[in-house]
Amino acid sequence: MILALEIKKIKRTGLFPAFLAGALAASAFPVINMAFRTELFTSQDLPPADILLNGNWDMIATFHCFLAVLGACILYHTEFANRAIEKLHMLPVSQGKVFFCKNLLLLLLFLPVFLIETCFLLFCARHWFPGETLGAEILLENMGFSLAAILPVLVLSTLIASLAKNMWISLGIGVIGMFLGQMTVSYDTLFSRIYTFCLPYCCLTSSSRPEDIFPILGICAAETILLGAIKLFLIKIRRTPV
Amino acid sequence: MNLLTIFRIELKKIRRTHIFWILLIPLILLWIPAVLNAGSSFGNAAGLSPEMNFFFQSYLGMSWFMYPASLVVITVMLNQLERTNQGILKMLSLPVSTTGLCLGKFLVLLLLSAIQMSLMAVLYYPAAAIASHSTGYDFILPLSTVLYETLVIYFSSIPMAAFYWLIAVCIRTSVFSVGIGLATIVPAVLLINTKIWFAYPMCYPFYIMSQLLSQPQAEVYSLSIDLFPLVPVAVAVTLVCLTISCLCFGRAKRR
Repeated sequence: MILALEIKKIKRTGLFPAFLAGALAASAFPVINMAFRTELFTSQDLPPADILLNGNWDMIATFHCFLAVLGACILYHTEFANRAIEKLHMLPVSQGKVFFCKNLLLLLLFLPVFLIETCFLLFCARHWFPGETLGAEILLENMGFSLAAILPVLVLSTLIASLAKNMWISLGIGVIGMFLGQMTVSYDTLFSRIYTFCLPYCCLTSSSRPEDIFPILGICAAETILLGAIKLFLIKIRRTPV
Repeated sequence: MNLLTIFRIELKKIRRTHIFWILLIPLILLWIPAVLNAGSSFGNAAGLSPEMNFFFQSYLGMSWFMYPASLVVITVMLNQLERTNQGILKMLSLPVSTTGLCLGKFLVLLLLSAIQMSLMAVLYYPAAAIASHSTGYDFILPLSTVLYETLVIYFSSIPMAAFYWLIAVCIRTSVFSVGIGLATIVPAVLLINTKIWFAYPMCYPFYIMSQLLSQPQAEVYSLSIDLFPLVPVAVAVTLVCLTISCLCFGRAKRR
């Protein structure tokens, strides 16, 4: 029931068209990249799906992080804007449930985003690599993998957004977190492997082995549970409603 | 009321917004990995000296991502300050020209970004000092070089700031104004490699930084950039953006 209410609340925030536009912008990226630098990509001796993911996934992941931070900020900003959150806390509704429903809603919003991107990547593979196997199953597996990898990012950005009353503070902290992830993602350190905002930059290609993938999935699950637990703990101890 | 008075009042409004910390924290986070990885500045394929490499690595990251993103965050703050408690209604009912109010807020945006850039330059010196201490190589560049690069980034970012201010004023749905602002940062990487980079204000600082990176250290003060298409386009973009934002300021509330 709370999820249905949350969906109603976002009707006039423009979140859904914004996610759609973000998905289109992110999927335009590989198309433009292929159109202008066809030689560079078609000359590589790899399956088409791998070439496309290696060449474009960084930028697409940046878009995903932007969307996650922005979506979380807007979802909580609508609560803080006219003190709706105080009314929400008067209701016999658990605050944790509201928090997780907002996360679930964001995850549901990300589903069409990933679908659109996969369709565009398939189009690129068909158009620029005729005669080769498309690698549709790799792209679909990558979609499932990125859904798992975006989950901790969603929980973290929703957690940040729920703590600050002013949107510029939550947006600022989210952007700083993203920036740190973007800066460190190319380093080969432990931090860049476990830091939440670095996780969406991983992608699944045909050469990745199960022993590389499962640790990442484990890290995602662990961080999601940990951040959720932090939120529940904060609800318990903070006097001001968060 | 002249512009200076309005500007002073705007400065009073941002006193308790904590925006200073939002501007400061990314700079500290930027220099920490640079200091920790100072050793990697020695290996450089482009033939850049280690101290210039150390300096440029951080400045590039700043001018590509964090600086435009900070501008977007500041515009969000400037807008939300008036939205909560309907401050904009009271402002518009005063006998003050809306153009003045709009330009006053834009000046705050310019001032805050200037503060961020100068903090960047100020933090460079301790970072370089620590790096030189730990590696035994003198990383500190002369003050004139640092000042010059900082000023170049700052002035080349003014059209970008005007563009973000236009978006923040004209698009009232915050998800779109912030979303457009953040989404326009990303294509800058592609556009600096094309011939039409000067038509896209968001890539000026990044383009100029990457141009400076490719020229030898001795000629650091002579920009090897054609000023002809850049300056007129930049001035035109700034003026058009500011004019439209002044015309649109508070329009939704004035009807």
